[in-house]
Amino acid sequence: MALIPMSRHSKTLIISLACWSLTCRCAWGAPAIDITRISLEELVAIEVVSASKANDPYFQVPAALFILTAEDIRRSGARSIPDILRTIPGVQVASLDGNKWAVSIRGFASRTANKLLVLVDGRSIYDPLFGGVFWEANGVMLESIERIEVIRGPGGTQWGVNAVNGVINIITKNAHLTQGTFLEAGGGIGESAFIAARQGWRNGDHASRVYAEYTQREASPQDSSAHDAYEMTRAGFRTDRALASRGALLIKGDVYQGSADEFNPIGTGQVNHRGYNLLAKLDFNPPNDNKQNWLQMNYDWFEVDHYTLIEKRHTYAVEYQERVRLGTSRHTLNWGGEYRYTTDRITPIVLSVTPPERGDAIYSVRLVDEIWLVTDRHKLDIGSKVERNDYSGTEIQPSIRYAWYPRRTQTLWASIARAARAPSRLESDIVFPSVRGNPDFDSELLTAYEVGYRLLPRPDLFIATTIFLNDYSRLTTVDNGIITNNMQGQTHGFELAVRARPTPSWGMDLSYSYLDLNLELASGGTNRNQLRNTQGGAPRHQASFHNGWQISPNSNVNFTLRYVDELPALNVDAYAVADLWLAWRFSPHVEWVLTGRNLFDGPHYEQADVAATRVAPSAFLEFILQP
Amino acid sequence: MKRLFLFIALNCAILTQLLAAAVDIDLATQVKAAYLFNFARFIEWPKASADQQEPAFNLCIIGDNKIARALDAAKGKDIANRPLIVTLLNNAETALHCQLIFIATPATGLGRAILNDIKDLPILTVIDSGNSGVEDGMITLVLVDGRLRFRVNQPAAQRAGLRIPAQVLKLAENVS
Repeated sequence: MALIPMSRHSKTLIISLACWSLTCRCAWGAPAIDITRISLEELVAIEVVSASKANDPYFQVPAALFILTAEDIRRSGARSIPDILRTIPGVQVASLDGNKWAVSIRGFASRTANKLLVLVDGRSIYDPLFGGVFWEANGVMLESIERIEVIRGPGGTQWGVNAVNGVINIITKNAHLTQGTFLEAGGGIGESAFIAARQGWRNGDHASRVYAEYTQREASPQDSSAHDAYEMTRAGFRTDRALASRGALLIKGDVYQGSADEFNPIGTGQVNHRGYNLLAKLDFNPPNDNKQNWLQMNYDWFEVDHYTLIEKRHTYAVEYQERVRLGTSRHTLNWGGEYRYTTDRITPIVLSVTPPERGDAIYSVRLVDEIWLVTDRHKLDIGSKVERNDYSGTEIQPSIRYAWYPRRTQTLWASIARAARAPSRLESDIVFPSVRGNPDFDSELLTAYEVGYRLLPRPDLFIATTIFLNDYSRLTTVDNGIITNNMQGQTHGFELAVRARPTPSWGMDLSYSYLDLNLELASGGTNRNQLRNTQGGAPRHQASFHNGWQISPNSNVNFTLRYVDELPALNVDAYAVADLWLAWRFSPHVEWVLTGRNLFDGPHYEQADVAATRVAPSAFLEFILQP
Repeated sequence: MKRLFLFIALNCAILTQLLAAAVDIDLATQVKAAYLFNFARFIEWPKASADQQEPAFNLCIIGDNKIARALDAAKGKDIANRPLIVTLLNNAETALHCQLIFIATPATGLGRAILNDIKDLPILTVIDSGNSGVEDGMITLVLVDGRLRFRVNQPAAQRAGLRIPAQVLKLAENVS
């Protein structure tokens, strides 16, 4: 046997490490609860098993689902929702500057990435004007997020139009779980300074919370041309009430106002955002009854004062969904309907739209049958959503999903699904010297084929893989100044997520994504530039590795390594960075957190937008008080 | 070499000290402990029964030392004017002195024996169904949707003279 020569130092190190790993038996991220004070209402709501366990229903979902828990979010050290999403396989996140991001799933990233549906507690934050999300305006107090569910692949059958490449569903904590006072403040170099406060209280089955937060960021110092200062004030409430019928009522609302500066080729622009929203959701039955049904209503108003135009928009939505097992049969029916009305007023500055005011109704119905072909072994979900909108008319989005559970610790699934991305208001109605909207512009279509495998070889190891082939037609292009549907093609890829918990105090997460786009212009298409930028605008390889270590009950050391491949068409180089997160609980009520992000690499671009600013290493210190 | 050993020994000693106080109790165990404490507080035992003469409220645990440790915080707390004590059971005889028995391993011989011995006595039995699938406690903890919920066997509780209040029943995942 060959002996590898070892220095005395490395021996010392190895034995010390062994000693550390043997003695460290502390809980992996288990928050301590006061067992003498916590109520039964809270107990029934606490998630004790993470998404990586076989008895979790998530394990059985026949779709590429990834869950980020509150603990994952905390340990990432990220201060914005796009930054939190960076380590999820299949998700591309690129900073354009200090307050704007391009977020996409399985390619097509840009500021106006439009093949993605983003929901906060079921409320869509997708802006129908340009078909994307203003991430800088739509924040959520991070400490109040219970989990983020990311579904890669078409969610059209369940979620409707625009859930083409995926759905991001941000779910906030039940007010029963945010009792007492929470205060947080932080600041540092190259990062936002922020202060947040939350207060929760309870009266029997009725719990509520209110919160307010303020975030402020200077323009990035690394680029003299950067115009990305940011300021946002946000406040809101949530109230949860258990009903005598064993159902639950949720009412919540938020209000925000702020500005997100933006470099613009014709001057420097301050972009002002403000808005408010209100949501009520009534669950008629407790979870896990044979029948689950809920009614949700929400209202949303916002205003964006951009240097190109001013958008003011009201949205009203009402939705009813039901999932019911048909007696003792093999069938579980999922059905529901939604009505949404959105009305806007666009004040032109550089861009204008005709008509300047427009109201659109969108209504849809959905029916999916979950069938156990063989109980606990083979399952088939088959169904469709039919939606009508004022731009492209009726969209039919069927899907068929099959799952095989050879053992409790394995899920093998396959699906074929069709999804549509409805035209945005700008694509239909924009008037600008170089681009004109096209009322005949039709929806973009996708047929997606996916195969996935989830495996729990040991209780402390979870592996999920997905292979997909996406076939797109009628993709958006600008031909001779008119918006058209002249691009098509295929993308394919592979995604891997591994979660390991070798000891209760040590956790590792690995993710890898491979993505390849093969697009072409349809007959009549001329915009080769746009084809090249779309095709070469997504990283082929992406990987991340997270290591978290609870070195004592009161201290945590975490680091994340991230690699993103080059974007050849945009002249953006590959980059590899590290994030570091150190938390120290000074007393039961006080915690210090030190975060370093984008370490070990100098300023670099992540996207090539005219407004793009380089991303530089940052560090900040955070102080949490829970009296 | 001597210095090396000294260094390692020191390293280990410090760590062991550091971690002696470690909270090595996972969230699920804490939630189970909190459930037990809540059941003890809310459920009403028959006034006339002989065990009401016991000076303390005896919460007994079978097959899970971690729960007993998680319950440390509840020790001595007042349960209907009696201090709570926590006992780890390893035989069926002492079970008769308990007011509440938590059985983490209902499928084992001891678990079965105790369940059989105390049938219809005013002793609340709480069972962790875990992976055993056994659900014949008055209350059974089950994992649903990643959350720990509980099922109530109301006839069994009633036979034993225990009254489970509505505020507990309405949070049950299932009441039979």
